[in-house]
Amino acid sequence: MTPKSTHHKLLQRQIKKVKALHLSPEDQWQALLDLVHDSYTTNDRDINHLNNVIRESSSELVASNEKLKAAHQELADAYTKEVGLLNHLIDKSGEAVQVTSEDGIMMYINERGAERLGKSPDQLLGKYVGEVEQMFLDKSVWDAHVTELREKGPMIIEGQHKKADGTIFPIEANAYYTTQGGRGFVIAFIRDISERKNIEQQLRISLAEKTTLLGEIHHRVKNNLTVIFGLLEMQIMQCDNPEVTSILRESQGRIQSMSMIHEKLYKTTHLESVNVTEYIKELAETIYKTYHQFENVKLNLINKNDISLPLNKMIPCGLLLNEVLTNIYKYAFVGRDGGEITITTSLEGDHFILEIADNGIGIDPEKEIKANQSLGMRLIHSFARQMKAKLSMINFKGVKYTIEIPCKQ
Amino acid sequence: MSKKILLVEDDEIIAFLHRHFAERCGFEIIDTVDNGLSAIQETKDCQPDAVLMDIRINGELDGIETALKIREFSDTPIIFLSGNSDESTLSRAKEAGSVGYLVKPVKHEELCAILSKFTD
Repeated sequence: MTPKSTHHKLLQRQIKKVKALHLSPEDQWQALLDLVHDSYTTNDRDINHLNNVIRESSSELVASNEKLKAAHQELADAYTKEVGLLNHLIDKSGEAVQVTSEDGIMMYINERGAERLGKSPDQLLGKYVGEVEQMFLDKSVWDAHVTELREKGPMIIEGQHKKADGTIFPIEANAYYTTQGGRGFVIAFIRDISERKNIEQQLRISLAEKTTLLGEIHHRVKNNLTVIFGLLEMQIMQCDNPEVTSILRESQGRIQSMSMIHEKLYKTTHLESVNVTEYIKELAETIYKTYHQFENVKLNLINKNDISLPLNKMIPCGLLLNEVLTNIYKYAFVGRDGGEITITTSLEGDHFILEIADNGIGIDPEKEIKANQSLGMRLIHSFARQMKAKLSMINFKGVKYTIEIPCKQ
Repeated sequence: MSKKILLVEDDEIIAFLHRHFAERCGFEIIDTVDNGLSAIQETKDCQPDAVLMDIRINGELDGIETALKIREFSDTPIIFLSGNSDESTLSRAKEAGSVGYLVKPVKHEELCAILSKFTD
């Protein structure tokens, strides 16, 4: 049984009311006929009204639908335009963009990337990445690369790409790992670095040439000093005067101090500074051998830190040490069987501290002024000034020189 | 009779000085050459009592490589005389079978002492 409409229920109620009036059968029949007629007339009006409402609503709906359709089309057009622009930008970008699945299959490559390899994107998609990147010819290397990207995050790597014609060119790839729909991918932005590599190579060659040239200059300087040293040696061989010989030997010592610096510079890779502690050790030992008659004099070298000094301080530092040691060997142990010389090098803040101490006879206070005016002492003060160093001398149970040299230029 | 020394040195003045020092000590410098190939040939031809060899010399072979070639046919003492005193050069020189090593600049006494030691 179908549910009755409200209109039908209303009609039934009115029929019941007519029946309750107890009219004559003719009047009751007439009343019922009027009632039904009225009812249907009312119903037709409602239906007409409803029809009108429905028509109006439908028109509105159709209009809204048209508007929606237009808006949707507008959005679709804008989206297509945006995506088109984006694709265009990616395709024509200066960098290759490549998406590779976790197992090394190329899923996407932009036009630029394919063009650089001398192929179309279609020729590359679905191929193993090792066909392009030489490093990944071995699948285990690709697997390790993916693992590293997954664990450590984005990284920049260098590689060698192979073109369709077989030529190889260097690349730099900025790669990262990502997942989409439960699958892993490696996205890489790849740059051709042929030009950069060429420039780097040229710079390396140029630097090597300059380093060789600079090394050659130091070698020549050392050779020239060797010649001067040898010429003095020839004069020493011809000289019968011990005093003159001694003076010539002192000059040789000064030349040797400088010569050793140039030898170090010839061998070093850092031409702007030299390891001063190593130099002082070698120089002190060389001077010690020069004064080989002092067999009972012990040389102690204490190095607390490894320190480098700029070249403009190394030469005066070496010459100063030469003068001080020469003075010590000449005067400190006169009348003694032996003694000790202690050279200590250390770093205090940004100052290199050089201490040279002997346990010899010290300087007679009466002769100290005269000693300070000697050529050796004047040179010592001059070298200290050149290094902007602070020089102090303690004359007690031997002589102790302390030189505080600023490490910077 | 003077001991015969072959001097291998590419710098003319230094060669002159070393020749002078050695001769003043009674040695005979049989020849001075400036490259490895000449040094090998001279050692074969003249059989010196010692070779005084610089390490940086002219030509494709350096002093150490030259010494290695000489060692293939001769036991003559080879004494290096070089401006380099770094550990790697000293070690290479030792491996090349040299008997002595002097660092330039040298005093005549040092040169004579080492020549005497290895030619007696």
